[in-house]
Amino acid sequence: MRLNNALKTVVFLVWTIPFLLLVYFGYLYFIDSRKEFVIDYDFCKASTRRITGLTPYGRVKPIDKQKCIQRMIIDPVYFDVNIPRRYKRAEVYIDYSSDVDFRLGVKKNFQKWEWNFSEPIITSFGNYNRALFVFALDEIDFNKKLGFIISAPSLQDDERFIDFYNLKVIFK
Amino acid sequence: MKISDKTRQYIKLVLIHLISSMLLGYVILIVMEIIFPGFVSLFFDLNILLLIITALLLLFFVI
Repeated sequence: MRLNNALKTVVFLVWTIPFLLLVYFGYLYFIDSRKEFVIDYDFCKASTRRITGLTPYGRVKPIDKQKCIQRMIIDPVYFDVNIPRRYKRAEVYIDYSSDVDFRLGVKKNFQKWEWNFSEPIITSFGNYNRALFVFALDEIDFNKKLGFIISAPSLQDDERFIDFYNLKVIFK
Repeated sequence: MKISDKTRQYIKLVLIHLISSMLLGYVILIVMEIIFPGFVSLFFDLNILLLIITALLLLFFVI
């Protein structure tokens, strides 16, 4: 009798799994991401679910798993960000170390080669810098993802490089 | 380790409920993903759920 009751409890718990999953994803999709959607891309725990990572591979070196960095050697490089819905504004924080100036652009239209570039607001933290780029997304073509370009024309000149530590995008 | 027939039956019963509920969850999440793109794929990899279901099915047939 006692075992039967325990079994009933287990079966009940087991059947609440789909329901709980549904509620959880519903919360994330409809409520949590309504306020602010934060995507943090750490090069050591690089998950490509939300940010595709820096491409193409010839222009960036493979991720250095020990230092958690990725080195950009040829201009330009790209990354895409997957987001659940349209947002008004994106703040992109890029932690890097280099003396090379670079700009970040967001693709205006996925069919055309049009980019909205933003100039960085740079804060120095000693051994690395943090560049903040702010984009208004009202006129940006949106298809559940946004395309970004990192442009550093002076990388063409010599053997200079940019080491990226972290990418963080906050959608508001 | 020897498992009695009764325990085996209980485990199988729990497993069958677990597999059924996960399959139902899988189908519901797939449907939600089609209706609201990114509903699941932005936060969770559905292939992992499929992998767990397969492992449980294997366990069900082994036990």
